[in-house]
Amino acid sequence: MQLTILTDLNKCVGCKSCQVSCKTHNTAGAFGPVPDHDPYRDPDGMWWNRVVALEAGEYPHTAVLYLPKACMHCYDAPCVPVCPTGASYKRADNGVVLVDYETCIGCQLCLWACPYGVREFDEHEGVVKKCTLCVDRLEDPTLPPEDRQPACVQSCPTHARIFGDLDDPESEVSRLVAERQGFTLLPELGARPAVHYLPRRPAPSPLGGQDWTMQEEADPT
Amino acid sequence: MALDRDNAPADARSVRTVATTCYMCACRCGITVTVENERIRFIAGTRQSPVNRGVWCAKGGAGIMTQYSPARLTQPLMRRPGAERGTADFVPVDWETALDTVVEWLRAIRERDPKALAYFTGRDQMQAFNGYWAKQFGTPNWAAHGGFCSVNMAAAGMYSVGGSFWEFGWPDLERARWFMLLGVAEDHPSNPLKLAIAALKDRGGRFVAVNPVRTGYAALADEWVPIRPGTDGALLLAMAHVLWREGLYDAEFLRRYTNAPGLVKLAPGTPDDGRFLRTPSGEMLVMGADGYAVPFRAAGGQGVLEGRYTVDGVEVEPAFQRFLHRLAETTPAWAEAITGLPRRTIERLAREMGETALYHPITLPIPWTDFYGTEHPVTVGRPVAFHAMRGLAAHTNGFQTIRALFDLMMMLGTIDVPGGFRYKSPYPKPVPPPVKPDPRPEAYRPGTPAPAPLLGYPTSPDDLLVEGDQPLRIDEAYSWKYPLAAHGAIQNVIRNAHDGTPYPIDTLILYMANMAWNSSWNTLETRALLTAKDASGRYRIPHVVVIDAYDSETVAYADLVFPDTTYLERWDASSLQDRPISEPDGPADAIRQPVVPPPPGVRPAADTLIEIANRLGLPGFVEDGVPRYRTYADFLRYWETAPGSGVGLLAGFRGRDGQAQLVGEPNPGQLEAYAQNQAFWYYELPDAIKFYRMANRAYLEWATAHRFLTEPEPIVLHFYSEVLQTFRLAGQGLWPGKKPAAPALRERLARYFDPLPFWYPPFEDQLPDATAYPLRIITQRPMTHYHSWGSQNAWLRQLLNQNPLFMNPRQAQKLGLRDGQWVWIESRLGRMTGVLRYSEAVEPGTVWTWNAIAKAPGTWGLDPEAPEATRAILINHIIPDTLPSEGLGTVFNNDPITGQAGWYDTRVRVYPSELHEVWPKVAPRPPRRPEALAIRRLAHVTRPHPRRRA
Amino acid sequence: MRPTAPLILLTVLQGLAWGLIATVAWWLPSATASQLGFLTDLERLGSLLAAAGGVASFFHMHRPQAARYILRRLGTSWLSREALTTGLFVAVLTAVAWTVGAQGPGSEAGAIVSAGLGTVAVGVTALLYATIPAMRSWHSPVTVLALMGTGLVSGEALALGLAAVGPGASLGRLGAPWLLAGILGLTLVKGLQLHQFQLARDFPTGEGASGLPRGPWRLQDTGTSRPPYRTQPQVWPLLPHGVRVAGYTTVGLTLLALPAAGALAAVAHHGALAALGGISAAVGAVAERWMFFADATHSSRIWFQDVPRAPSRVAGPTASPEWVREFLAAVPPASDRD
Ligand SMILES: Nc1nc2c(c(=O)[nH]1)N[C@H]1C(S)=C(S)[C@@H](COP(=O)(O)OP(=O)(O)OC[C@H]3O[C@@H](n4cnc5c(=O)[nH]c(N)nc54)[C@H](O)[C@@H]3O)O[C@H]1N2
Ligand SMILES: Nc1nc2c(c(=O)[nH]1)N[C@H]1C(S)=C(S)[C@@H](COP(=O)(O)OP(=O)(O)OC[C@H]3O[C@@H](n4cnc5c(=O)[nH]c(N)nc54)[C@H](O)[C@@H]3O)O[C@H]1N2
Ligand code: SF4
Ligand code: SF4
Ligand code: SF4
Ligand code: SF4
Ligand code: SF4
Ligand SMILES: [Mo]
Repeated sequence: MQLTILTDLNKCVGCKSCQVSCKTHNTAGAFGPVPDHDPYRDPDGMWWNRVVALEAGEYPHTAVLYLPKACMHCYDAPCVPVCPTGASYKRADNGVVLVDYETCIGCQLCLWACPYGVREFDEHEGVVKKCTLCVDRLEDPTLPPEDRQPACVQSCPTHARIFGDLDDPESEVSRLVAERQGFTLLPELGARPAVHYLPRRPAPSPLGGQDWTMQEEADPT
Repeated sequence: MALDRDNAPADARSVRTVATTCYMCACRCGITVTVENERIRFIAGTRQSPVNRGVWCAKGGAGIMTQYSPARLTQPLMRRPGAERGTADFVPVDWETALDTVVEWLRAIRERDPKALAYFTGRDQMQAFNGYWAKQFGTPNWAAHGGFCSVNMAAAGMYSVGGSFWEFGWPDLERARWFMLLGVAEDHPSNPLKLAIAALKDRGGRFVAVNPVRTGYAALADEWVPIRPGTDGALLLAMAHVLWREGLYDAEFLRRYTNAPGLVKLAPGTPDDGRFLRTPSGEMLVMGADGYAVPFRAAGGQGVLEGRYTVDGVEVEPAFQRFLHRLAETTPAWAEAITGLPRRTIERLAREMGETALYHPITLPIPWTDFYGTEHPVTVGRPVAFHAMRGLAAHTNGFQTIRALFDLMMMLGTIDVPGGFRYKSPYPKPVPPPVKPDPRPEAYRPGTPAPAPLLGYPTSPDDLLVEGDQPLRIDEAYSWKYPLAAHGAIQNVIRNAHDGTPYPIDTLILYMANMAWNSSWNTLETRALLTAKDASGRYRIPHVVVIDAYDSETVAYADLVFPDTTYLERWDASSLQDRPISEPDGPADAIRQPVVPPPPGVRPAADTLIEIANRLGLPGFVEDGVPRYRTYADFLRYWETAPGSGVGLLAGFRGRDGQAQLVGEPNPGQLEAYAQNQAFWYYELPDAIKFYRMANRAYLEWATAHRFLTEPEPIVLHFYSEVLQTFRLAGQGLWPGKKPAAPALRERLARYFDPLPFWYPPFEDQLPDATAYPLRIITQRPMTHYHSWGSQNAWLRQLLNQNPLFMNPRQAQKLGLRDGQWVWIESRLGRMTGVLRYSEAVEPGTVWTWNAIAKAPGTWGLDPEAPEATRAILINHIIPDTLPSEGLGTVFNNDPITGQAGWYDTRVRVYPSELHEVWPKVAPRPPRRPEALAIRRLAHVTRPHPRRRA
Repeated sequence: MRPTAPLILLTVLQGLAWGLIATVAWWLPSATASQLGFLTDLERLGSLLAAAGGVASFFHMHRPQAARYILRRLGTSWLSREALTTGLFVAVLTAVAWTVGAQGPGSEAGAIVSAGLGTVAVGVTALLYATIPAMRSWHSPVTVLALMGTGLVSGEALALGLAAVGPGASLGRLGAPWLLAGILGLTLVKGLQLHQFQLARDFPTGEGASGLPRGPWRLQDTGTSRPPYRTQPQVWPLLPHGVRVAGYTTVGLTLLALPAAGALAAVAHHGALAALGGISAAVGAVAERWMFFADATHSSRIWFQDVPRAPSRVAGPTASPEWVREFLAAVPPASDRD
């Protein structure tokens, strides 16, 4: 089993609900806290999920993209073998990559090793923290079954985030990855991320033609 | 206060969840709050809620940190004797002193002249109550925030289709095939719009975004239409031109359900000009195919749309024909020059929407019967949907632009149909809704309540609140300058109160309005007006009372501050009488309930207002000397629109036993019943009355029985606004009733009150020096912040605490500006600095930034050196509040029809700045809780770390 | 990358020590009896430096109490291996230096074993850096060459410099040509490394990072108003051009040019100048390492970094030139702990 989250970039509007629900849950959650520094002065803080906004192309052919980015729970997680203490580990039963705060020495080598910049260092506790795929929610018997899913998946107002088992070819995530050309980030770095993204899927003009966007030129009068 | 480390052992944890309604924005999602050891630890969307269906947004989840904000006000405050207003030099006082003081002021006002109280509320969610309170007090001077918000959208919809977007109606994106979103960044229905866009995307529907900026929703658009600000009216009219030229409009819909076939009298120079030909009983006449004029209903939807006729010696044309004369000129080429959009794009978009609407209808197997008695075996939808907000509304030509949008939607036959625009209960209302403020000066007398609601919809100049040319209201709503100011004009209040026009006031109460900062324009001057004194050294606005929950910029300008609870500490409601949370499929409302107790010195604002009303003995609050309500919770349960009407603030669980819906006796256990039902009530309409509700006989009867309507009359949509024509006639001096004397006022009416939509340049563009300021500056709402409230929130402020000025690199290079450079941004009002950021996602003639991120130093519980105070910019400083006067005294930069503030009309020039810091600056003040600034690390856990499992 | 003092100290001192002991091992056979004491001193200096490096590495651990687990992942983690090999190196070197030294029985074997262990230790450390694909600037054999080369050159130059003012002048003259050759080699390696760093800076593409095919791309938001330099030390503001040029010039001067001059001076019997060259090499190694960290590109930079547009929490008004201000503005203090 390899649990994962799939984000449909065709639906993500960059609202950062997933970024905040992650912080909300994990601040009080079992793997927390997710600390804030100087909260009422010059603020800074830890986030396990960050929604990055990029723009590409030239006006008027501009694409604007939002990319929620948390731990990719890589199959070949480079953060795991580099860890000298074994504090970083990948769970055999569900593929979730976790950090054991008891054995972490805070050397931060795993921060270098992770290609995605999703591990964050808690300098106060001296340990590295990151997205846990909300295992504490998935396995919390006190939560109602429908809440046993990652907080960021549950909150996403466009349902752009989908949770499931990538190793199960029948699962929704596997099906969507296969059907809609799901892709991973920086595949060339060889980490084999479990987290996938679905690309944009433009709806063409009903009048036919591919991409009409501003093909027409305005008369500059 | 702060959430610090708390290592409670796992077994000592007490955990409970409470369902309530979010207040982190006006979307009002259902939320379920987890409380652990009496601390709020998690906020999630309520799955069953019809609004958000289990999802929640960044703000909603972060409500925790607003609850624990260091900016919270914790006790009543009074300006220290001798201290200057605006310096935030307060002494805490006890509640009795605070209440006694305000009651003394108010009692004197009420006995002398209730108009001397101006009560204005910002983005509040208690307008039904507030309006009632002010009405019982007897002042006409109440309004909520609509004037500076989106009254253009509300009013243009109400005067066209008896509904609008936003809380009044909705694009049916679960069925639409083609969707155009105009001028929306985030909007009120935040989560619902996201759910809806996702539904459209899932189905592969086409999404076109018309916006000078491409971010957020527009980022997902299949086509981005980067329009020049303020020119949408031209785009819409040009698209209507193409629909007409190509025959791509739904003539049957126009004939059956709108007044487009109505015969308009052509009698220039007479009071009849532009008015409908009517039967003696007042019914509009249309031209039958046989050449005889027949009453609209008798024509059975067969009235012709084109031609010119003479009926009983009167020249007439169908309203649609009148429109066609206009459309002949609004060609795509014409619009191209105005909007900057290629004419072929405009043509293509029109054809896309027209062909989708006409050639790809969807049918639902739902039979229904219209008011003609015609039975429709199925429900036909035109799957073309629109949604629009402040990008259209916040311009001084916004009303007519939005009228153009609704007329376009009528042409496409996409009003209350599957896949198109759909009303939300209690809409549709008659066009316009039959509610009017009392226009008589004598209606606002000492010691007496106002006889009618204070806000409503005038249907002719006679409904205006004027004496001659003089306004009755301090904000000049319903005056000749802003006749259809259906939401009031809060943005006019401070200057008028300062100037004493039309009259001086004594006390200004501001509730939930941050008028000294992000909701004012020309901000520095507005702040000066609040502190200005007359020759004798008395404040020109003698008393200012602020009711707020947090230490906003405005708090400093109060003489008296009443601290409010947070939304997690009080009983509250989203009512059908107010701004309901209804869905297209049926009415809904919701409550808030206390999740945690408020701090000892804090009381709910409504309880405070009720206490004041009780002490003043306001009728409706006190009967025979006995207060009817002690708290707002009482009010929610027991208040009725009229004694025994059975209609109150909450529609669910009415009747003694809680079994009645919509209409029923008050239920003492109503709030508890809501609490049991996840804090909301929702009634899904039967399928047969879900669509074509303006014309659906069964619906009209149902709605009448349930008091949404007073009679089951069809609601004929106003393609042509005869109401506007009456104002034009007044401008032309032809109206038999009230008309203005000043020629400039007359010109305004005659020009802008066109009964058919038209495009004119926003006022700023009409000024002679407009070209000296070649760029237009606008703001957008960030999805993570709600106006000014976000910055006090430890989590949200990390997401956004400084805002650059975004500019297209091509434009920047033309101006010789570098990315990251400090620039001056100068409007005709003055200049300010900002940091430039390149963005390809903005139309080259536009610059923009995020709204309301900047803070005055020391406010909102923040360090005076916080980035919000030292690196963020507030463009309100340079947004002009007034227009060069045409001999009319102060003319605000408002839409001439509704008084909507023209936020997005501002023109600027941008050039390098030698100053590398934010300017202008305002004087810092010490933060309310300095100890919060010492918190270097905020972290908390309630659970032990999990045991390792490999 | 945020340069951290413990890592700079650890790697620089480890390299220096290794360079020293390797030089001693090589000089021992040709040393005169009067020079043995000096060589013992060199060994002891090496052991002190190595121990100091070890102590520094201790400070890099934020939770030393968990240090007992550090050898758990010997099978996969170069850091575990580094702890082991460097530990062994320091232990053996220290034992050798303070017992037999250069004079005692088995001193040659001791020096050779120590030097061998040092080779392994420095090599393992270098591999730790070179084997991380995400560290684009380091993920190359050049990294191993550069780290080892710097260690050897700096150690040898130091030894040579000290020898020139001590009783080992003849040894210094003996070593000088080799040092010059080493410096030449290192210059080549550093040149290759500069190229590698340049490639790394150019690495991120909009496509790989987002799936967006259309270029050029621009990062508008990292998720928070500012990049998370505080919680993610592997990203770090792009060095302004001026700093980069100044940094590499310093490295070139102190690590390469001056030691080379020192070597020539040693040959020419300019003891003081030669010593200066040796000390310069030690300083140069620090400068080299600072640049190695500060100029390194991590693959995640693409999501955190664009033009510097957000002055950081510690930015203060200064009258420095703009590039210095820009740089300082982007650099949070490493010691900003509570
Ligand atoms: N997160 C969040 N949600 C909010 C609020 C908030 O502060 N934060 N505020 C609430 C309130 S009070 C309101 S009124 C609503 C407003 O909701 P919106 O209407 O979404 O608000 P704005 O951010 O003003 O967005 C206006 C959009 O119109 C575009 N625009 C500007 N001028 C023009 C124009 O001439 N033509 C076109 N086509 N587009 C134009 C702007 O680029 C921007 O994208 O949001 C509500 N919801
Ligand atoms: N440049 C520019 N300016 C704009 C706009 C724009 O688009 N661009 N948008 C305009 C629009 S549409 C609007 S609606 C206005 C919004 O303007 P306002 O309504 O003035 O804005 P808010 O910042 O929401 O401030 C409301 C006040 O409510 C307080 N408050 C929050 N919660 C509570 C509570 O529970 N109880 C009480 N008593 N008080 C509470 C806050 O502390 C704050 O002081 O801004 C307008 N200003
Ligand atoms: S910081 Fe902790 S988890 Fe990361 S490599 Fe070091 S010991 Fe392992
Ligand atoms: S994304 Fe980074 S932290 Fe997560 S498993 Fe992959 S390498 Fe490890
Ligand atoms: S799965 Fe959980 S921990 Fe990971 S990003 Fe989502 S909310 Fe955060
Ligand atoms: S919550 Fe959903 S829509 Fe919002 S940023 Fe995250 S993935 Fe995108
Ligand atoms: S959209 Fe508004 S009401 Fe809904 S959860 Fe977010 S802040 Fe709360
Ligand atoms: Mo608004």
